[in-house]
Amino acid sequence: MKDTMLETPAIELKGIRKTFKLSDSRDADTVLALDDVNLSIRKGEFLTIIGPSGCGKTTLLRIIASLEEADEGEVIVDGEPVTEPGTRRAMVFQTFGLFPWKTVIENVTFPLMIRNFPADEARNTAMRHIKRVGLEKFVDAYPHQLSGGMQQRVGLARALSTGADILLMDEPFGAIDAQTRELMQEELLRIWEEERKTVIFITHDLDEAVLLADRVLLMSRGPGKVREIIPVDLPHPRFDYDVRAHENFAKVRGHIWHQLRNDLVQQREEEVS
Amino acid sequence: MLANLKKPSIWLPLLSLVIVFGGWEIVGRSINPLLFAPPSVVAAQFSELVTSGELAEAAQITMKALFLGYALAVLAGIPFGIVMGAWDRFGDILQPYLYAIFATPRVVVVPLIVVWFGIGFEARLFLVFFWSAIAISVNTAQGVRHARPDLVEVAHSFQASRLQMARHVLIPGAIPFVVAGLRIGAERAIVGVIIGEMFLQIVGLGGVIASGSSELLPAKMLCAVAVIAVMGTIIVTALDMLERRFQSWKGA
Ligand SMILES: Nc1ncnc2c1ncn2[C@@H]1O[C@H](COP(=O)(O)OP(=O)(O)OP(=O)(O)O)[C@@H](O)[C@H]1O
Ligand SMILES: [Mg+2]
Repeated sequence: MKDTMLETPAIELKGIRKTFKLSDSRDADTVLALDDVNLSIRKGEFLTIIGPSGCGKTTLLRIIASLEEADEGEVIVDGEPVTEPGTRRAMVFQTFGLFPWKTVIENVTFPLMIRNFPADEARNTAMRHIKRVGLEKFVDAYPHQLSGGMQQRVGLARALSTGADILLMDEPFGAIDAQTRELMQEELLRIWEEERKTVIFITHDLDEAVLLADRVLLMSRGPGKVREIIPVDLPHPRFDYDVRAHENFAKVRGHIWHQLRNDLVQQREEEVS
Repeated sequence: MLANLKKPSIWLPLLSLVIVFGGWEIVGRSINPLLFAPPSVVAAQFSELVTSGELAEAAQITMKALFLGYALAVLAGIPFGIVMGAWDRFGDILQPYLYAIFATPRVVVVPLIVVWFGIGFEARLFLVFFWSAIAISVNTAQGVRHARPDLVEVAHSFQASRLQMARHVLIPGAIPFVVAGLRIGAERAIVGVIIGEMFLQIVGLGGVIASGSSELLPAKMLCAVAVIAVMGTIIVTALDMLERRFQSWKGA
């Protein structure tokens, strides 16, 4: 624990606040989406974020990716404040975000091509990651010819091949069927165990949140706040044993569910009264 | 059941043709020949129009105005649509007029066109060009405006420049809309060329219909109608196939 305290964090959030206007008019109603979020994420950490719908998870991730601007506060990547998207951070999108007019290989090389990498170098890098996610047979296929799980593998290969050391994932497996999802969790964790990239992973799925994480960030509803950060003490590689049967899994999962449930019950009571 | 539906049967369409043409022949013979013609008479008229060269000449006149007008519409309509789509205000200002023009039947402006362009080739060309160009630019503008925000964000997250954004996201995203505009524009162009030939200057295939009508030769009219129908079907089917090819570009 001590040496990680000395190391510069991969990402630091300082006093992040964000409100949204509900319309363009000047006196429009506003929603407070994030209220003073402070957070420090270690290099190589796998952080999952869970919380009730509308608590600001996506907003937080978009601010970390510099796709959205915070009203107040700072995003610091490796010691440097950031305001624009950068090559160190790569996003994996919930709806995959593949270009329908590009083939698998063209989609994966896109970020490298944007940065004017030599074509063969970009292609080699892309091929390596396409193979890694098991899609070498589909390099020349178009996204609409692939299943959801395969499309998200392309999304993952694209993010990996950028060489970014921070992966930002907003419910990446949310639109994928349960069995494929399980397989992809395993694949993602295997890749993470090899490369130890810093991962921020939003999910609605309690099991998924615990299964993947070093720490689970629990957010609370309404004005989005960090409610609790729960460390997950489960040995790696996690898919070499039955993680779900581990006593720590049940303990952490039970604790998070208890908190989430309180939040939801409270919300219902407020809605009724 | 499904397998049966998929298998294309030639017997049903054939039977349908026999019944329709047979019925047409029987009914056609029993009606005053000044009003209607059975297929046998139409066929005879058709071969006469072909051997005299009248039909080929008429078709050539029609095609010339059609293709030139349509080509100009494509050349003008696409850039204009891009400007309209990219520059919101400009599009908003023009929109009500374009929709009004688009929705007004063209026959009602024929007298105006006569005043502006006379009754010659230019007038007919304008009838083809103008409405077709509007259809193409309105659709192109829509394509430019309807860039998928999620894909714009993807490109932005990977630091695409404005030019790269246009080339890799905005333009490909607009293509299905442009192609749809090309099809609608072609339909508009075909109607335009015939209106011009029937109501402005009596020439071409529209002219054959008009003269068939005044000479009380329904068979002649039907011949011209058939040629127009075949021509139109070929053009629209080809563009329809092109449109379907780009269908998958709209969503993943
Ligand atoms: N562009 C926007 N304009 C207005 N309000 C917004 C906008 N984006 C988000 N919000 C609001 O901010 C709050 C947080 O939204 P956000 O999408 O971050 O929630 P979330 O935790 O990701 O929810 P979910 O779990 O359903 O994905 C919500 O109340 C939402 O309505
Ligand atoms: Mg969300």
